[in-house]
Amino acid sequence: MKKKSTWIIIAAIAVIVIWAIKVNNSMVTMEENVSKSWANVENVYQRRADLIPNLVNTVKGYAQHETSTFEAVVNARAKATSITVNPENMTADQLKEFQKAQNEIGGALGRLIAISESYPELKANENFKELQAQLEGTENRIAVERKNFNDEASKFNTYIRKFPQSIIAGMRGFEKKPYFEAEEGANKAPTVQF
Amino acid sequence: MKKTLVSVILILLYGFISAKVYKPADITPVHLQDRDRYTSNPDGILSDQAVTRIDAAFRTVEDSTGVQTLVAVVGDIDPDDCFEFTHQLAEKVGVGRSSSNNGLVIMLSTGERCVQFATGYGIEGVLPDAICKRVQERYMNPHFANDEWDEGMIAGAEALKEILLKGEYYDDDGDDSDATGVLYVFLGIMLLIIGLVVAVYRKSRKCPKCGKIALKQVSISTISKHNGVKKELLTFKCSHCGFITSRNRTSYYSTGTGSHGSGPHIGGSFGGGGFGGSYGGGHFGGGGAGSRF
Repeated sequence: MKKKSTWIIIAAIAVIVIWAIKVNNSMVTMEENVSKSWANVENVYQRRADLIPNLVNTVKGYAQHETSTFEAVVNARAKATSITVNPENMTADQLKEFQKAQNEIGGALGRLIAISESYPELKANENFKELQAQLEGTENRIAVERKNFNDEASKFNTYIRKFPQSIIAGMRGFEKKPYFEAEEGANKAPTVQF
Repeated sequence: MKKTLVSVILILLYGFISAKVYKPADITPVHLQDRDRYTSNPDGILSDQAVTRIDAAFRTVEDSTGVQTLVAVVGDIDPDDCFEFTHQLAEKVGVGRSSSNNGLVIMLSTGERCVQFATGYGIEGVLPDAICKRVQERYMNPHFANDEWDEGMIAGAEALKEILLKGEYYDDDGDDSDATGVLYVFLGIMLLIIGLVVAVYRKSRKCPKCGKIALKQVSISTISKHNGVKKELLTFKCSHCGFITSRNRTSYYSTGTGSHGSGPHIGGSFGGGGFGGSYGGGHFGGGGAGSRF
């Protein structure tokens, strides 16, 4: 009789251990997906940053006097590229800072594009048009990758906060990932339209 | 009474209005029913001739590059942001193969007066945003500005075809990837069957005395033939050691009273044209371009 109950306890422990391993592994997979989608977010922001020198040079060729606008773009870019966020242990504050810096680029770029309205020759320039199309596509890509990141983060957060997985998450130190917040009117990325 | 009448009218009115605003889920990908068709034209904004020409252009594109296209021409859309709508539609249908993300979606909304391309991750290289924009500005927008939907869409489709065919893009695991898989399975089964036949043959030809595969059939005689069962005695001689052995063989023959077959019956009806095509679950990262006119 005693032997039987021992076996039952051993079986129960085995079941729990197997379950814990499975839960832990799915958390690792999900966190990895969050990291991957974060890398994509960084890629598309980098893509936008890479467009800036070309864009500034093109606009400069037609509108030399708008120095303050050029400076604003270049400074915003320098500031934003200095901020890096590690997806493994990112906090809401870090993401906010990142987002703020990127939004500044967005705003500065919006003003740069708006310049073209007063320079018809610039507006008709093939190179400028091409850059504008690329910028527009990049803004769309940013929107897509940000949404993908939020989706992955939400999946991860929901999983680790649900009972009983939350026990394992607490033991293994998995923490809730922050989200990109919807942009407020003033910070909205420029909508480049023709 | 009055109340119900009002609500019935309201429901009808709502139905009438909502039928004209398309959500991404409302677009039926016609390509799934017929592999030669790509254009969803539910409101009949394009003429049938235009649809045929556009479909033909994208059939050529898929045949020679593997790029899968979905064209949607609608009135009003929800969400009313053209990029958002097109992206959702593209992801929902999964245009392009999931392995290569080589989908292309072209959306024209006459209500929002915008045209939008969505390029899958895989074809962003051959169809960069700037090129998409150029196609729209050169070939499509001038027509669309005058409400010439047919002309604009045909010109745009032809231009995209030119670019894609010239782009020397080819998706390796293109249309025949599924066929290759089937071929391998078929080959595997064939090999298995051949192997079995060889094994059975070797076993039947193995000399019980010296173990060599050298038995040769020297004679065959029928023992009995009755009620469709035929018994024969087969005599083998080993060409290696000269050992002689014999085996019985039972076989079944048709007595002619079994079935009155009426020849092979080829059933089913052909017609209705092409088979359904497929979209493979491609993903989109926001590539492409859009413009208003």
